[in-house]
Amino acid sequence: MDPLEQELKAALRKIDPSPFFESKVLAAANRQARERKTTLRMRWATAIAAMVLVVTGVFWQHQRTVDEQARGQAAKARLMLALQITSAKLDEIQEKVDRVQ
Amino acid sequence: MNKFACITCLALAAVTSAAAQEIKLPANLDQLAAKAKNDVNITMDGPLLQLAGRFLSDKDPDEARVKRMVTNLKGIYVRSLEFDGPGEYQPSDIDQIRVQLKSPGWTRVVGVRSKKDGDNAEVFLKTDGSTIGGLVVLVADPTELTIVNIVGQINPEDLRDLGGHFHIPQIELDPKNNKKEDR
Repeated sequence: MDPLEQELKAALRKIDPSPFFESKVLAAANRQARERKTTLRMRWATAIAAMVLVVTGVFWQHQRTVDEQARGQAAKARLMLALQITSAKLDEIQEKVDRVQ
Repeated sequence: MNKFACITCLALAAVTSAAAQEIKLPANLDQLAAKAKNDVNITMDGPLLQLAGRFLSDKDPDEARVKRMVTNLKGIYVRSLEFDGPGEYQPSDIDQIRVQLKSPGWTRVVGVRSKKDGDNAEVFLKTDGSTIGGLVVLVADPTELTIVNIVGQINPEDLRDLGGHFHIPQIELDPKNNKKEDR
């Protein structure tokens, strides 16, 4: 046997694994599976949170527009009523002035 | 410190509001309102007027005119009380307003008084040179008391322009020609 063969044989010789090798491999596999699940859950949670945020934002904006619209229409109605009362009173005064003349 | 800031802000807000309203309505109006059959109380300050202005259409000619008029206004205050019968309020109840309208700048452009019917109606304008800075209408009928206070710059053209559209009669701005007393 030449030295090369000897070296190869030594390198490829069967070595028994350490006593906890199997459990270590299984633990590492479990850990990786858990990490993958956690990452997936985080992604889902982020996506759902973003969606909730967008929906809430759109709803809030819509509600704000509706509220603003209602307040604006109410203010317009009050303004028109105030002007109508003013004009009615001025009209009455005009009639009284005309009567005097 | 926060309390002081709060009090200062409240005081400032009160002063600003009072300054905007200019003519202070007497406190006893609320007591009279309790006796009134109908009570209309409209208070529209600057921000509310601007909000209303945003909802006035440019396409509708009447609304467009009101929108233009409202642009320079600081407030519109209307208080109208209607009573079941005469004698529910005293003419002196609005003396506080008349006193304020005797201050410089205010001119009574129309005054109609009927001893027979007991009607008393007056229109006051706040003028500064050629600009109108305010309008007060006082109508004191036996069963009705109405006070209108429009604060802010009113374009005479707008006031005349609105005549016929909102039934606002045309008012001549020369006070000498418009004092009428029906006795």
